[in-house]
Amino acid sequence: MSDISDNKYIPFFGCMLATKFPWFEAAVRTSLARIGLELVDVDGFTCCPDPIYFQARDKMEWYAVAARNLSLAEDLGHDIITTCSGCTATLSEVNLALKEDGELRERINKRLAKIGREYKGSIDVRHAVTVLRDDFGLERVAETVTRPLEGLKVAVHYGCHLLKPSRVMRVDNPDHPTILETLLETVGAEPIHHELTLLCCGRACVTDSIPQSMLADILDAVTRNGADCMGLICPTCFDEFDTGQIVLGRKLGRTFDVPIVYYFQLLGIAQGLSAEEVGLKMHKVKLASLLEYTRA
Amino acid sequence: MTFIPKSWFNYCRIRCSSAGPVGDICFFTGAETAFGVYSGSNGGMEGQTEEKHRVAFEFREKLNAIAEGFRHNYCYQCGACVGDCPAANYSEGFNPRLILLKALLGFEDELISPDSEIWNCTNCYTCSERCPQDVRPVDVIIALKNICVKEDKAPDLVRNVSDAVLVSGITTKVTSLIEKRRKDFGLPPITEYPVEDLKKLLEKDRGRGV
Repeated sequence: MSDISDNKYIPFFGCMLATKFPWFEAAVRTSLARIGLELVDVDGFTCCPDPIYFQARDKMEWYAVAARNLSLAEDLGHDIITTCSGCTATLSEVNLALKEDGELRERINKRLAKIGREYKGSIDVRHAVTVLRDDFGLERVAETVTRPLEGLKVAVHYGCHLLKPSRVMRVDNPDHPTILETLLETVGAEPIHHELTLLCCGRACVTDSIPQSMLADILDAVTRNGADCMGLICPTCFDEFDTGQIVLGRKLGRTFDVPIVYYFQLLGIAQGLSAEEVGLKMHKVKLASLLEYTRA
Repeated sequence: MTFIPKSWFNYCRIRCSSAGPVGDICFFTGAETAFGVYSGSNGGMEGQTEEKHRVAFEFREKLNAIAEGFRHNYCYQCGACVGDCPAANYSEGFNPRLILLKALLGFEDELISPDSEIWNCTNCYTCSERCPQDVRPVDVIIALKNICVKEDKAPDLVRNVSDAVLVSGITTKVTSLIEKRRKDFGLPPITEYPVEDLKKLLEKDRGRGV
C-alpha cells in the first residue's frame, strides 16, 4: 500500500460514472474532497475492462487490459479508489492475481512490453467506501456532515462485487456485512437491512426473466420494510433498479415507485450539497422527500 | 447400477435400470437430469435408460488449458454452490452443480453453446464463498464462456460489448449530450481513450492464448 499520509488517491470512475451517470462522479468528487481526500486524475485509463462480457471473451485479454490500467496508476504511486463495483471487481481481482502468480505476471508483462508498460504490483485497489471506513474513519466522515438525514429510511443494497469473492475483496463479512449500514448511520440516515439486502441485481444474466423476478422481489421487500428509498454503491445495480423498475412496471402493469440513491449522493446532501448538485433530479424515480429536504 | 456420489439421489429423480458395458457413463432424463457410472449390476434401479455417454476426457483437457478452468477437477458434487445461487433460485434451468458435473463428464454440446445455461450465471460469486473445495464455480463458468467465444458459440451480446471496448476504449459511448452533462455538473471533459494502445496490446496474440 502506498503512503496514505498524503491523502492522495487515483480515482477510477469507469465507463458508467464518466458517461452514464456523471452526477454520481460529481457527488463523489465533491463529497470526498470535503472529507480530505485528494483525487489525482490520470489520463489514459480505458474501461476496467468489464468483468462480465470482457472477461467472458478472453480472460487473458481481460488481465492485460486491466494490468495496463493498473500500471498507469503505479506510475504515480497512489492507490486506486473505485466507485463502481464492476471496476472494483476487475481491478481488485487482476491486481491480486498478478501479485500472487509470478508466472501470470510475466506473461502479462510480455504483452504490456509491446506498448512500453510494465505491471509492478506496487499499489492497492480500494472501493471508496472502504477508504472512508479504514483510512479516514467514520468520525472524520461524521465531522463533515452539516445536515444529517434524520428520519430517512434507506434500504441497503450491497451488490455483489464490494464483498465477493471475499478471498479477493477482503472488505467485510460477505454474509453479514455492516460497512454500508454504518456509513449510512454516519450521515444520519436509518439503514434498513432487509431479507434481500444481499441479493444480486442480476445484470449479468443474458435472459431477462431471472433479473426481472429478482428485481420485483427486491423492490417489494424494500417497500414492505417501510424504506423511503434504496441506497447502493454500484452504478450497474442503480441502472438495473432505477430504469429497470419502469420497464418491469410496464411489463407487469404495476408501479413500483422505489427511489434509488447512490451512497455518495446521500453523503453530499448530508454535507450540504443541493439535490441539483448531486443530480437527484436525473433519476427516473424521484425521491420527493429528499428533494423537499434540500430545499429547506 | 452404482451412482457416484450418493448425494446425487438428493437432487435427482431417476428412472432407469439397464445400462451398457461396465465403465460407461449413463445419462438419464427424468423430471431432472441425472448421471451414473455403470458398474455391472443394476443396483435395484427400475426404469429405463434413456441415453448413454462415455466420459469425454478431451473436453476436460481443453478446459484445463483455459485460465482457472482446471479448477473444475476439484468438484466433488456436494451441491453447496446451489442453495444460495440467485440464478438457481430464480430459474428452472440454472444449477452450478450440474454445470460442473457436465464439465467433468465432457458434455460439451450442452455447455459450449450460445444457448447454454452458463450465460445465466449472475457472476455474484456466492458459490465461490460456499464451495468447500475452492472450485470457484464462477471462474470455471468464465473458462467455459472463454471456450464459447473462441469457438464462436457465444451470444452476440458478448462480442458486441467487448468489441465496443476495443473500438472506443469503453463499453458506453461519449456523446455530445454526455459532454454537456459533464460540463453542467462541473466535471472535467473526457480525454481521448487510448484505443491504439489497446489494439497493440491485444491484436497480435488474439486466439493464441498468450
